[in-house]
Amino acid sequence: MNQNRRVTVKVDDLVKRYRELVAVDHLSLEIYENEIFGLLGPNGSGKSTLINSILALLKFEQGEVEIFGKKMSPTEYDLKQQIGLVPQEPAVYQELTVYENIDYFCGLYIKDKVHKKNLVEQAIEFVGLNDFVKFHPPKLSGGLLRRLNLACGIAHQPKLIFLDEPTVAVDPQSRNRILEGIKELRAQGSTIIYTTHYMEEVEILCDRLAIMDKGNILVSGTSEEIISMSSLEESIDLEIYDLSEEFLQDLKRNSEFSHVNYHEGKLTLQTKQDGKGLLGILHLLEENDIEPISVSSKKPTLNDVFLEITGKDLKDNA
Amino acid sequence: MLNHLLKYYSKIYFYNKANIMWNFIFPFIYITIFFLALSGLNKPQPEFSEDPIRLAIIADEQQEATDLAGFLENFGQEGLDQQESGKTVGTKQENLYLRFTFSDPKTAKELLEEQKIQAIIRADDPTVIEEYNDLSNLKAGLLSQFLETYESVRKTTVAISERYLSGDYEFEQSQADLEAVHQEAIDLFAADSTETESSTSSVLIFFFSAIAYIAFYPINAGVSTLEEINANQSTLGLRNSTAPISKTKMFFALFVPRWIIHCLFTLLIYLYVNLLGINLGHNYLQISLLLILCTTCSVLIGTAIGALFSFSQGLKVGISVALPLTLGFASGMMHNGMPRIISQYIPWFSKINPIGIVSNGLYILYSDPTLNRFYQQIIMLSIITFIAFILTIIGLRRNSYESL
Repeated sequence: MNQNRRVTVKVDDLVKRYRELVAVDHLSLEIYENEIFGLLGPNGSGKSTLINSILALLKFEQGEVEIFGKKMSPTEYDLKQQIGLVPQEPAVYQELTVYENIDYFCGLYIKDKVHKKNLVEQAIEFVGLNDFVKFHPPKLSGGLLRRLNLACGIAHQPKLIFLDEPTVAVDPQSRNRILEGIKELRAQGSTIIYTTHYMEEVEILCDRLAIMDKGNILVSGTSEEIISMSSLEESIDLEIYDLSEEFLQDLKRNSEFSHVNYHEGKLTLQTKQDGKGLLGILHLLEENDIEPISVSSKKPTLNDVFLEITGKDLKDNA
Repeated sequence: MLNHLLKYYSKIYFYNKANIMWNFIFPFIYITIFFLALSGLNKPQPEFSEDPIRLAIIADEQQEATDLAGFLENFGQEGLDQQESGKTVGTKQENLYLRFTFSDPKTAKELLEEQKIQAIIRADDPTVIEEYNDLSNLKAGLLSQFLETYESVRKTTVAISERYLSGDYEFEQSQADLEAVHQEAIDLFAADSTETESSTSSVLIFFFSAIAYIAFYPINAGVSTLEEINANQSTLGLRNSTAPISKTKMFFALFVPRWIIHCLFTLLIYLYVNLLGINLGHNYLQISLLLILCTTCSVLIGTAIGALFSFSQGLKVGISVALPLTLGFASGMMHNGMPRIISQYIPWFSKINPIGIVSNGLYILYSDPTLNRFYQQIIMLSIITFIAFILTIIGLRRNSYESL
């Protein structure tokens, strides 16, 4: 499927060292047009170094970065024209109002005054800061400040947007607004590279993602693909009274199930993630005239997979 | 695009409250404090021979009184007026800074109340001026200097004597050392006296350094300029670096308004100094040129530091404060003998110290009948400014970084 899509960002065999430390280690990556690509990894995994190398802000020892099919360099202004950056820390001028900040950053890309004015107004509308245009950043709440940070990065309507943890320390209302906004940007045709520590955001937002650690991409694909690559199993919990020892032994002998355990009316077991396990146990119960009081199933999450792959909990590293 | 940048960078600079406080209000406060501290500068300097410092010395022991009198007689005479003077021990008329008398505490207090003396000191603790009345800042400063020098000489004398008594020293050597210590102290004031004789007051030199310091003060404007366009110095720098604009264009858009604003401000400070009535001389054009060049040099040294080094915010503020202060100190802003010491021990430093160059330039304009030496200062300052500019451009050429 991906073979038919145009590549927006191509990273080939990138190596970046900080003295002895290899921050990015022979990394190759392709990000396709009009997708939201999630970049996950614990602190120090090389995410920021990768992004800064793609943006040609960092020198690197080896490799090549192409954006829209052209080799990226610090003076490639035509390419820079089409890129927007939303850094993790709000990068806005404290001395300028909300409107002026967006106007300033948009003006770095857009020369035509009328067009710029329209874009600034659209960006304000987009992030829902209409009531705060005359406010200075110190007067804004954390969430509103993040929205301003986002607006400054996307006002010129770039085709490629780098979003570095845009929802950190943001209230739920602002977070939803930002997430909706990101989906809308994709709908408008932008390609988005999104780094975050929030797994639920990745599952909701990203078309594809890559898990990084120690300067390498450990695994990439859609979240379903990544979860299915994992050796982790689906966990099934059933509440059943008076389960016979014979049935229990049959279950333990059944190769479809593992970690079968029955204690005080609660049966827990694990099965493969293909969904057949749940149907299988329900079928067996029916055959043996056993009626469960409740059934629940829990598939492994991206966080579980992340923990399995990197040995670190993503949230603990946030 | 350039208009867009100029519009916003000027606005950002003027709307920064800390910047307004430290770059624009503080210099006025500083000059005003300096003016108040050195009030009377614009008036003719007191002729010490006509109006010396008059003081009473309370001495419990004869030896202490004799020692102190022996030292003070190098700079003054015993007796509170001409008729009273019992002796004149080699005191030249131009070195007559003091008239002193020995007295008991009660009489000394009466003399002070009757304004026949201006200060009372004790021979056993001469560094403390016990009481004073109608003593100007200048006279108080000079008197303290005499007394501290005496105390220092006394301690050195005691140390030399102890070494002699312990048998470490040859008699001739100890005598020679004692004489050298005394002579050094006397020469120190003789040097000041020579300056007083010249048309330029030594106090005015403090002011030349202070004005030069203020002209050099906006170094921070240069350092912070680069912070906004270097990706490795701030998040704003990171964001600005991803924009499709060359760093050089962005630099000039940031630099030019700041430079113009600070040059105009330096001229405003110069105008303020004139309004205060401080006479720096009548070469207004040359003084303005010198001060503008100093401000340009300062901002460009700041940009060179910002372009070449990636310091933390705290360190930048530290450099912006410490560098002008150090250069000001070396050029005599706090002690007028400092340029002499620097020239003696680190001659190259005094040649490249921008505040020293400007301070000297102002002094030369005030005292020299021709502009030859002034032009030498201008040339030196121009060279330093040019080097700072070149270093800035070299630093700006770096578009990507080893680390962020």
